[in-house]
Amino acid sequence: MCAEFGEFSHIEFSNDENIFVPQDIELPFGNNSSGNEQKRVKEDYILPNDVEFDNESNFSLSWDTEALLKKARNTKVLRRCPEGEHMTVTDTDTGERFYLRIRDTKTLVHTEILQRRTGMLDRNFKDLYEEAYDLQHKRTIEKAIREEDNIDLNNNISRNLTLSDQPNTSIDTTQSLKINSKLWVDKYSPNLYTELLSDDGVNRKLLKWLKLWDPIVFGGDTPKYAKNTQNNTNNNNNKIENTFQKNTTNENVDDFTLDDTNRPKYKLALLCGAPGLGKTTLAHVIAEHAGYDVVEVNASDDRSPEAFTSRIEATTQTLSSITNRHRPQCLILDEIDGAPLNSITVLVNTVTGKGKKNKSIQLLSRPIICICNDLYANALRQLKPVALVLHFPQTATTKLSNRLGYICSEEMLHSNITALMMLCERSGNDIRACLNSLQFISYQTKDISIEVISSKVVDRKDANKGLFDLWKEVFHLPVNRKRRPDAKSLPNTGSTSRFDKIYLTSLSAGEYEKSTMGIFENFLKQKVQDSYLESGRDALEWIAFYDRLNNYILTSQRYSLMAYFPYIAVNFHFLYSSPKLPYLSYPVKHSENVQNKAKQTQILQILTDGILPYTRAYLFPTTLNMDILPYLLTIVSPAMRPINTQLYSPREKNQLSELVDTMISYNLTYKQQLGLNAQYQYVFDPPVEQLIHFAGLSSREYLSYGAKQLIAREVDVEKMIRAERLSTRHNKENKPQEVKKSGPILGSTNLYKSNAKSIEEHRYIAKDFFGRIIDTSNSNHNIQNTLQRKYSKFFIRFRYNEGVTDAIRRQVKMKDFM
Amino acid sequence: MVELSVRYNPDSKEWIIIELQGSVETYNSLPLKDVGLGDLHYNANGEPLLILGHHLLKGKIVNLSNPIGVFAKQTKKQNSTLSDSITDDVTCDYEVVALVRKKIIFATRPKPILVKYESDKD
Repeated sequence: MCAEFGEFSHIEFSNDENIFVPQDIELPFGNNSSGNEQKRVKEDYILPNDVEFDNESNFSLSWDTEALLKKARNTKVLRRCPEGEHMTVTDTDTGERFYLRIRDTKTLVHTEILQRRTGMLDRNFKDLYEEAYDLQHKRTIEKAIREEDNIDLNNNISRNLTLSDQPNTSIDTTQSLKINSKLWVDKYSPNLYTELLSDDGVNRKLLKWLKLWDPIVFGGDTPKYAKNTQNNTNNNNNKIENTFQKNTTNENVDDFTLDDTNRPKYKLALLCGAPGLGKTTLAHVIAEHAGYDVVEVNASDDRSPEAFTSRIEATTQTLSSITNRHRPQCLILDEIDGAPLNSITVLVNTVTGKGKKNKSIQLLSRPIICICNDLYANALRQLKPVALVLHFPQTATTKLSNRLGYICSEEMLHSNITALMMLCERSGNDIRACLNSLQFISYQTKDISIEVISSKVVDRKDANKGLFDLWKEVFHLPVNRKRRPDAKSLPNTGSTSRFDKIYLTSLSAGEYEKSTMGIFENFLKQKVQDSYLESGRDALEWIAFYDRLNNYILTSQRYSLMAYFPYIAVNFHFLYSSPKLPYLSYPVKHSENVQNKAKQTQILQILTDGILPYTRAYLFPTTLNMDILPYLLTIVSPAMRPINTQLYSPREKNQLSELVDTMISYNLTYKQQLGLNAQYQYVFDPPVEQLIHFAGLSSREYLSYGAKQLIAREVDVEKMIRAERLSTRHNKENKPQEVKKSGPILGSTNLYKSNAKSIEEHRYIAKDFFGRIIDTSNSNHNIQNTLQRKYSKFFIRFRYNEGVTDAIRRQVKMKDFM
Repeated sequence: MVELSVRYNPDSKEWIIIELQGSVETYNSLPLKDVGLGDLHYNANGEPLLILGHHLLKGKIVNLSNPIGVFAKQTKKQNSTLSDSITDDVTCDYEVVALVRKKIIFATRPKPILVKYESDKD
């Protein structure tokens, strides 16, 4: 907790004017007051809860002493009973008692202030109000100063003027407001290629790519580095590449390939990177540099497919007429990851020349640059293969801080490089954030020091950090800069602040399931010096804690307990963080295992479903899986000769029939399957091998191909025989119905047969119906006689085999003739 | 070397092979022994017609490229003094019963013969 105060202690107010105490604040006493509701009490100063301001408290802040005294005089909330008219107030929460002085209410203006911290804001409303007021005050003063500067060209005089007459200056400043309101981000945005802050490699690559369009757009020669598909002059290109870029690979060379229409291979460039790195700026600057007029489409424009198409067509086929420069246009699609999927499809189709079949396809002849934050957004999936993807690395801190230093000197701010570097670090090298906060600070103070940056304005970026950032933070220990004398005062070194940092990151990242999985899969890769493996034990206990807690939350729906989840990441940080950058991988094991389990369960289910009832009656799936299957597969693979079963000895025949019997009762058989090496092989039909196969062990091939084939056939035959037997038994039991169902099937004598069938049916129904055979025997006899008579003619039948000569050739041995 | 004695005593009647593309079946799959196959007729053009069951088959006569001899095997048991070996006891004679020079091939799809029974009208 001390760290919080520690941070607080940096607050220093350099000038008297900073402490501005509003005169018109008044406190309404809702339920706190003891009936005196009509009576308004003048309240000058309410202290935030954690900063009690009392004579007895030994707490001290490093306020200026003068400010202290001033406040003490104005303070009206007291712990001790004051002299004169007063009233008592009891805090309903803590039971503490305060005393308030009572004054006349005539002169008071009504303003309300919240006494309690609402929890929404980090600081007391009062403080914020004060600051805001302060800021406004200062701003008007400063503007007045500038105004004066402009007129008099004299700094000193105007500075002395400032403190007093506020209303006068504020009227004067309305004009200068327009000039100053320009954001520094825009004011100091680079206009030349050389001013770019982003990574040189990326800059150069994009420019090179853009230059590839020159022959199409402007005419003229292709750049030297362009690789033509017609004549592969690889070696030369490689050399050029190497001289320019250190990390040249073959891929890089391919990036600058021209296709057969003399256009670059990639028709699009896709810039991706975190916000504020200057992607849009880069695109603009480079497009300008290469001689294009920039047309930008971003998230605020209409991006329906129709609008998209028309925009692309308009841009790529016309010259701009507004600027009168007649330059070709370059389309920049900003924030493309937010565009609807249909639009992206349209874009891709336009670029690749697919889609519209009827229209004469207009080949894209202007470069298009797309910009996105999240390369892995769903919408971009189609886009990536056709685009030259450029990742934006983080801007170098030194480069950025140098630039900031330059800006500070332009704006006449006092700055030192350490403070600026810290600013860069805190904003995560976000150029935009740095400039904005710098401009923000500049309205308050002209002196950019470490204290100012660390204390007030610049807070950590409120960006939503991803899971990888969280894992990186968990496993990465920021290096302590002990050399720096003021390291102690820096807030990001102490363990408490580390605690807070991880906690907040974990909280903001959310997705505890995933984040914990990621931690779980990555923590063992960390190197720890712990000979007793205590950290491992603790870590696993935390994981177990997560499991139990999650289980409990999910079963009892007590989601309030989720508040404990972020601490898991925190603890892992303290157990496993190291200064080395961790190698992280995305957790896949869990989902893999879940999938595997589902698959195995299904196999087991299929197997159990087919097991014969008398076997299944005593089987539980677990027993089957754990105890029986491993041995069963060995049992059903006895040593046997893969030869014709006719040649088996009685013992072997017996063995085979037993084997078949076992396999049928456990619903096993072999199935032919095309293996990985394009060879056919027999595998168990419910693939039970997978159930008992473990990753480390080599899978045993029990039987030869021939033997398996033989067994498979025998199993099929046996199954058929059993089915037959079952159906015949069935037939016997309820014959009449069975006969009705299945008419005579033999032969191709359909017409004739159908005749006979109807007669037969008739006979049986009659018998059924009356239940007595004697009654119908007469007619039956007659019919049967006629049937026989008729059939006798057609006792013999011919079955024609189509297209097959049925010639039989037999081998005859000499001994047959003897 | 095995020596087989063959006597040539062909039949005075001409033998002809009937080749069917298909199989001959019996009702209830009774054995075919001593069952008349069907009626063989010749139409005006001399084409053979075979009525087999309720099928009418149309065929053609073909001369065999190699005549086929039909041999009848005649075994005689001789009472030998040596009772051990059986093979020696039996001598085997072959008699050429016929020489087949022609065959009738029924290769076309058979036509069904529809029979209309009076009982159907009942």
